Amino acid sequence: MRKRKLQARKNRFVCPICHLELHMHDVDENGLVVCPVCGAVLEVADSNGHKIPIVHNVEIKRPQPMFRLHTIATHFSIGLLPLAFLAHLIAFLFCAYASCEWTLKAAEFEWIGYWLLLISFAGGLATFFTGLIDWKRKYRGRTYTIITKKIRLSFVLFIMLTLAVGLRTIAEPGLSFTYGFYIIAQVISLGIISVIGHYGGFLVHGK
Amino acid sequence: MIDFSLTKEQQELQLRVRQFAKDVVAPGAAEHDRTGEFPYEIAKQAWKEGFLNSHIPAEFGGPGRGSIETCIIAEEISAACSGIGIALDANSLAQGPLLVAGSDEQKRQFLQPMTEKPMFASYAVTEPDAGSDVSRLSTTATKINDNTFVINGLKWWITGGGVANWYFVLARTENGPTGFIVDADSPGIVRGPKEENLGQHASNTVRVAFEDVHVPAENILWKEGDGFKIAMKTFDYSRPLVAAAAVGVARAALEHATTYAKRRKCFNKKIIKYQGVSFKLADIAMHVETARLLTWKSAWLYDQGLPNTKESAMAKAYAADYCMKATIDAVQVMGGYGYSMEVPMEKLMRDAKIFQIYEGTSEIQRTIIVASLMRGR
Repeated sequence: MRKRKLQARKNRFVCPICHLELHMHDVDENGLVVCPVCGAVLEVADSNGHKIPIVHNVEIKRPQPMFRLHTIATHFSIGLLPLAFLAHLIAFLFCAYASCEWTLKAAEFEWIGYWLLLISFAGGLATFFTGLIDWKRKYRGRTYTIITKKIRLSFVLFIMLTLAVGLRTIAEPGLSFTYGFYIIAQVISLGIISVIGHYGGFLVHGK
Repeated sequence: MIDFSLTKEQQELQLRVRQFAKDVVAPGAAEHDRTGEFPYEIAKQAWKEGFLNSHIPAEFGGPGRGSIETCIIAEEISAACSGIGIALDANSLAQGPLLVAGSDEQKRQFLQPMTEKPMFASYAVTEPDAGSDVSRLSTTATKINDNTFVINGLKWWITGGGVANWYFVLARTENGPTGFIVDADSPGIVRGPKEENLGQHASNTVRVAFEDVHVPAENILWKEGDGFKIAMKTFDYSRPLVAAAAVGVARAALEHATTYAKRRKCFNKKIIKYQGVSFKLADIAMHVETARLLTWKSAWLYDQGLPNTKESAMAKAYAADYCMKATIDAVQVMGGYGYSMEVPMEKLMRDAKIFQIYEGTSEIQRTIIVASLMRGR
């Protein structure tokens, strides 16, 4: 594990201005990379195994995202998914309180949770597409490792949320295996969305 | 006949270590510098590659390399990170007294296991009140019967002391300073926490207290009272190694600064085009070359079995002093980049300072050189 970490570290360097961690894969064929956060145009030289980023220019007045749609959609889905999970949790607590009976209150919370999940899913789709637009505009479609990771994780999130919604459609709320998998799919989605948000934070604030 | 070229084997070794330093040591340098964590993983890989315990003779399972080869390894690894380099080189320093004065039985007992699995050893001579002046050491070894000595004392700034499997300890018996090999698991050994130092953070430097530590008499190197002679002879062997590490750091500073100066523009010209910058680089290059030649000469003398006390002191003082100067100048060439902790230049400057201090300060080296001159050598 540590060996793998060392290998991965070999290709990393840090933007000297905003301290964002970048990857040698981000560097183009001319040995240059534009930092996605601060717009510094960096030439990355290898000296004795150490990466030395040298600023040649700063890309200022980059096209900014319109209406900050990606930001709004992101926080929408990131904010609602934990609430959806919380509502399901409360439903289970009511169920446990009523000696494992699926009471009316439990059903109401479960229903709220499901709808929050659906809204979060829709918000996630909006986040993805507005993110793609931002990538093309602000980052000029450059293939940064951090953005590639976000896109890949978004696909996994899409699969997990589709699976969750699918399972919910076929499973009756209650203590069944199918419904259990529905909850597990939510938990996994929560993890993935946190990681995507974490990467997004790097893209906004640097390190 | 003078030949400055390396043999084919030495060139191959140099390439191999350079690649290892680039692939394994350099990527971990910044993190180990930040955390101060001992580089176990890198040491294990270096051991697998045969870059640790280079001096151990083939009859005891080691590669049996000469001093020149060990200097090549030290320079390459220290060019990537001298903190990690010194963490690995601590073994060579500790093994020095055994190689100089150990019996075959002692070598088999303490050196051979180090070739069978990754192990560490430390040279425990320095004390709070006895650094350059080893004769002031106050650690005692009291003979309690024909077979056993009891060691009491405090050793300080012991490189690798926290991870060592055994120590070379200099302690005073009634016959004078005596060299002992002490198993690190002996009851009564208390290792202190890691010292927070200016540079070379990956190196594990600690204090080691010896409280009624029983050591068998058979662990004495040579005989009682020969300790000072052994310690000094060890320096003839270890100083070229430290000088080589300093050359590595100075070379890294030169490479980083040149890489930068060839690319960075100022007033519409690359800064290497300005003499104020380029002459600094030329000066560093001259000093790296001369320091390396001095280092290799002192190592070559050692390999030939010829006296090298003066030359190793010259190499160590020259390489250390110009390593410090080279890194300061290289930081200046790189300006704000050189000062930033995100670029591997400032670390070199911090790491360089200790070369002027350990293994005998630069002033002590000059004293040794003058002493040789006075003796007409």
